Amino acid sequence: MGMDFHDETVVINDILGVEEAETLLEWLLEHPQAQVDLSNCNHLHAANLQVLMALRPRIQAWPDDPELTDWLKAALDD
Amino acid sequence: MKRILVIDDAATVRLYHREILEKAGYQVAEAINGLEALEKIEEAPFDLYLVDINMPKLDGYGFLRALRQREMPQAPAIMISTESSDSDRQAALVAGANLYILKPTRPEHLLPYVQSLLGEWQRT
Amino acid sequence: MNPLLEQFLSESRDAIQSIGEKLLQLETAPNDEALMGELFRLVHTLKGNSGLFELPEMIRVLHAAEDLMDTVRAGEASYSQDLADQLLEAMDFVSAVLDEIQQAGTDSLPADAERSAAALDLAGSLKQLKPEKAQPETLTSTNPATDTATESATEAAEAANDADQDLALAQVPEAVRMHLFERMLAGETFFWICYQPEEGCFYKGEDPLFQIIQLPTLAWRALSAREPWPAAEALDAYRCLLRFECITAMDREGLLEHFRYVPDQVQIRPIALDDLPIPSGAEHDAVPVADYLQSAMASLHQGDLPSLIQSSKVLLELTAPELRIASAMRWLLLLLETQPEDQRLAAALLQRIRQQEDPAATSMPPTATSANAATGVSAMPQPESIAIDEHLTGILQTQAEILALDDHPDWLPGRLHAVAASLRAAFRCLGQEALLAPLEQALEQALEQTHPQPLRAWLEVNGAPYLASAANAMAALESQTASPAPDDATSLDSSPEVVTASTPADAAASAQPPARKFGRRLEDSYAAPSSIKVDQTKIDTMMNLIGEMIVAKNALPYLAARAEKVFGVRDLAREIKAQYSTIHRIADEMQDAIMQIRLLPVSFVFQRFPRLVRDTANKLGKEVHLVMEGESTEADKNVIESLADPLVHIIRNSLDHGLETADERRAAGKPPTGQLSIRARSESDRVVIEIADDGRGIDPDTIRRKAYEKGIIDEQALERLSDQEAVNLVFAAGFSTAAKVSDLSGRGVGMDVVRNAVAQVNGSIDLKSEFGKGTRLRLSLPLSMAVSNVMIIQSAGQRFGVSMDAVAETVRVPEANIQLIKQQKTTVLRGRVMPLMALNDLLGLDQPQVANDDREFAVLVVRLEHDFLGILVDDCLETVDIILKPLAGFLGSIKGYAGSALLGDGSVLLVINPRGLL
Repeated sequence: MGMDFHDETVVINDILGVEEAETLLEWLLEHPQAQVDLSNCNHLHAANLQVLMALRPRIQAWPDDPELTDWLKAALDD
Repeated sequence: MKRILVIDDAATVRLYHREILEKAGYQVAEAINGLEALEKIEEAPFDLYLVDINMPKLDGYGFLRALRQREMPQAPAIMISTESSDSDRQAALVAGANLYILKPTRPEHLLPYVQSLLGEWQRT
Repeated sequence: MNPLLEQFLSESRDAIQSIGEKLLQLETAPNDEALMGELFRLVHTLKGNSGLFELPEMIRVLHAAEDLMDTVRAGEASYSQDLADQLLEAMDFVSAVLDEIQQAGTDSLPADAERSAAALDLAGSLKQLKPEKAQPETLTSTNPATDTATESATEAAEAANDADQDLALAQVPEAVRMHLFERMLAGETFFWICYQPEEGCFYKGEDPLFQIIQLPTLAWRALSAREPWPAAEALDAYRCLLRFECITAMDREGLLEHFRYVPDQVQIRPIALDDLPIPSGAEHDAVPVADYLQSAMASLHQGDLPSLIQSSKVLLELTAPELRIASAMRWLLLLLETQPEDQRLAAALLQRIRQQEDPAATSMPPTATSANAATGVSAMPQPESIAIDEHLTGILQTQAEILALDDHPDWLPGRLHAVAASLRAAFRCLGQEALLAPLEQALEQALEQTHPQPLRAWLEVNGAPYLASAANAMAALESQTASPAPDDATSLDSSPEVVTASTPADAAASAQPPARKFGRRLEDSYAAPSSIKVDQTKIDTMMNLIGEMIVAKNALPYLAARAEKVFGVRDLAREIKAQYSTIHRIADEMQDAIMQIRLLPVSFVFQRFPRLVRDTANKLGKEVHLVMEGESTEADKNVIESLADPLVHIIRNSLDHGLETADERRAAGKPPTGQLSIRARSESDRVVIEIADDGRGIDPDTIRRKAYEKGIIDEQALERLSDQEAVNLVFAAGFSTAAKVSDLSGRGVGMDVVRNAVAQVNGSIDLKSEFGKGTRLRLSLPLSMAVSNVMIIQSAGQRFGVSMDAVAETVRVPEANIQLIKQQKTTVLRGRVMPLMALNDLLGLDQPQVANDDREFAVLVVRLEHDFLGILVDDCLETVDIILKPLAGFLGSIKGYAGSALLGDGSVLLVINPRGLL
């Protein structure tokens, strides 16, 4: 569950709930060069998605779930 | 303090506007229809009128026409309506309104108009 | 709850009440225009008020109702029973939403599928009653924002201009669109979805991403922000700005079901074949298309497809594939290849190419998809323009419009003054005080000439820079209205806007005399009520305070006694007593006055009966004439309120079981229309309500048999019971006379429940029935429950109160006269055997009752319906008037006590409820 923060990477695990959006936003603000690893992510709440859309960190790896990935790529893949 | 007369037969709408306007520092009086509004302006003219259209006894158009026929300082009037058609708007301007706004009026939309018509609005 | 919401609830309830009354009145006078006008106004006000809150479903229903009423009022539809039924149902829905709000204490109700579905249904049925209008409203004359907000998303979508969808689909890659095109030719259907969750949706526990991911079979998807993201530091993660768009093969029903919680945040549009061929790509200016177009159109016209295909392929070869014209060629070739028989789409596409690629050749204005409309306008010579905020523009624009009016009403001077005042204020805001002196001169001239021209001239000169920038915006806006940008088309946000007509000239041209409106609206008459509304809790507080004051006042005699006996100042004691009698009188009057405030007329409950009787009788197919009398009879609010449910039940019973159908009545030699009367009157300190019908009455034999079958009475009683006693068995618990459970009264609630409800407010009920002729129920209730006369008794060394209403008499029974029958203490009182119970046993106090010196026990004879029960106590003391307060908190659930009261000496008296003790 939740997120693991490494030096310049945040790994999102399983499901990222709405209450994590604030934390994610703050961490990304402190780490403007950070990358996001979504390979273990099964779902993330739309609030988190908004944070990613607004801050546009580089996505290091996409989720396994094709439906989720399709939607995320529609928003985040350039 | 600038005085505003809110004319509407719906108590909820009156209270709603009163809260917005009082919070912005205006003195607010209420009238439940055009006739009562005409009585209120006998006592003293106001600096601005917020007028509903559809009211019993004397509607908003009737009130505005009567107001504009009075020999007294004329203040701007905002007609607040639910009708978005050009003809309704036209009728309001003919009767003597200076602005035509659609309900529901959100404070952030209403206040700049009120402040501008009172000459108090400042760009933020 | 905030005061605004409270005001809203209270005003809305009043309006709904009045709407119901007006509808029933219209039933007898369907052509009464004044009535109709007032009905419209009520619905209109209700809708206007709801607009101030977040109540999409309620607004949807009220909007449909208002629309319908407007057509009725204008004579385009006529009043009908069906219409009344629908409107009443709509009001029931609104009432239910109000109840929800009341309970939640907030206007932001959680989404509820049932509620949304009901709202859609109701709005739909109301809309169906509205006659089709021959002339559709034009896009320019309506405000799209308010329309889409109030109508269901689906309908709005269907009514929307095709151009919207072009723009939405233009962002879909050409390959995807071509693929869709081919699948649609093969018979598949697709919908385009735009889901814009409301900003606060995260706070309602919604996850729009989860919602959208669940949609199956997507052909395309896009995710964007409704407005540019704010700077990262200012980002609010919990303000939802997302916009989801996708194309799905799911059917409409499935989609509506999927988005049932957020129908107003979703647009669902079917995709038509001709929505898809949109040329997309970079613009160019080097490809000579004019020649191609000319020959292509000629070929198409002559049906010479081979040469059209040939020339199109050539053009495609000549142009870079990423150019828009290349895209157009690919589409044209696809259309010709897949639909060689039907060339309408191909012709439309060619027309479009001509508009886009060769605007000079056509007189038609460029559409928003192609040329930049705003650029075109600003290329025209313009005065220096200064951008200002939209509301100032709106004000200036509107004043210009007013000055352009070419009428000459009596109030022209007043109008000119008001315009001048508005302009003065606006220019002060613009920091242009220097212009104000000339403005005054212009005003004076205008007044002298009684013509707006001088003011108009002033505004034309001095307002030009601002109005010019506004004109640009207007022009851009206009071209958007003709072919709205996706943002506008998909926005369901209902932000209010100042409605500005396109230009002053246009406005004047479209000016219509609003005479019809003036006449009618002025005639609307309405009697304003002279009463004020007070929250019930405030009156309750007053009631409590006066109760405390009466108790506090009662301490004065003690004080006087102490002054005399303990301190030996007799003069002071006398003065205290004199003051006491004054305070006593005032307190009594005050109490009386407060009680008066709490009095309500029984019409408070009666008013819903006409509708109840009408609806129920309709449902049962019976003809019923309702007579109500004494509606102004008053009683305490609590008493009146407690009456509502029992009365409804009694009336339903009467209609369901008592009154016969017209045929049955004729057969019995009665008039076909049944009579139901509800009469109220005051009798000394009680209110009596009689409900009588001339129906089939109650058959005592049927009752006897049923009661026996159900084990309520034994064989002996079966024979011994008088007819009246038998009839009274309907009040026995578990008795229900209906042969079959009916939809109306047979809800497992019997007359025993009615009896208990009446007994709870110290009332009694009495039933008389003559078989074949009818039934009469008589309820007798106290006028007020606030002050109770209680008897103070003593038991186990404590004092208790018993309501005098429950006490039939007090007697002393010698110990010798108490016998045990089957473990049950009994005694004989005036020739009847009466069971006896010890209060200490009933209260669980582990002490024997104490007899007096003559070996006699004090017995409280308590009336329980038609039986008497003796309660053994240690002693009966005086009776007092007290203000009974229900026990609070968990004590409130103890049935043995009716409540507590403060006595004059400051002690607390627990008042026993004998019925609850058993």
